[in-house]
Amino acid sequence: MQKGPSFEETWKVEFRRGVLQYAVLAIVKRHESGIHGYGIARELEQRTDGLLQIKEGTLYPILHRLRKERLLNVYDEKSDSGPSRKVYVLTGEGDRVYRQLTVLVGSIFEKLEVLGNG
Amino acid sequence: MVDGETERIIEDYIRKTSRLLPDSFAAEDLIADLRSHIYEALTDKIRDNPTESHKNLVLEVLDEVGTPEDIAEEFALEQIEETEQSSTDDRFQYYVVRLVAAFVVAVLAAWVVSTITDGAVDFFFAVVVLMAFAVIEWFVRAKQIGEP
Repeated sequence: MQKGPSFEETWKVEFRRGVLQYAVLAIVKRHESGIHGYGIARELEQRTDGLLQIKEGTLYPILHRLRKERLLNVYDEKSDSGPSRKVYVLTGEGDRVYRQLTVLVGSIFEKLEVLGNG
Repeated sequence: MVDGETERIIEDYIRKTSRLLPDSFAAEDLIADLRSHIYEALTDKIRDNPTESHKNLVLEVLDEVGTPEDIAEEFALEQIEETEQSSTDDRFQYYVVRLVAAFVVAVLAAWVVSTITDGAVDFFFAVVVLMAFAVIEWFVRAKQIGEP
């Protein structure tokens, strides 16, 4: 009888968690004038065909972390639907880190493909 | 825009989440983000399903947002990673400020209680009791979110 999540499930969770911060940077970079948390959650789901879909509330600790690392900046915007919302924009440092990570991610997948093709 | 019952459901959810988070500016920030996210998602759903009850729609939104425990867990994970990077001095300073703030609040509350009751409640006794509650609450929260 199997106890707890399978190896595959655990691996997926860990992998997804690892790429989530990168994916958030990628989405924010696409929006030069900024994007709010709700928009990021929507794009994460839609642009990755649900592959990187997360419980939307868990996105905010990640955004907070990226802000603390000075990769994202934030400003307040009035919202028609209720309380004001925060709009996230990429900082210069965020842009540098994103470009560096993009190169790294590309290299990793390239090497993995070579490994897979034996 | 939304009815009273829907607002109550949202505020209950926010309250539950707040209880699982530490007392910090970061947590307050997170709560503000969550609240605006919920209202935004709800407005979208109302626009897409104008005949559906707001109560059902807000329950759908909260399901997508995740449970308060999910959010507290993710918050703790990010905080742990941050804490590992921050220096011991920063952590010490944080705890001292937090302790001083709790003490100031306890003294003020004890003074109010003692004054209102014309001294029936001893000021120093009230300070000790309130500080004891503050420390217990601190430990309970730390245990809930896995704070060191």
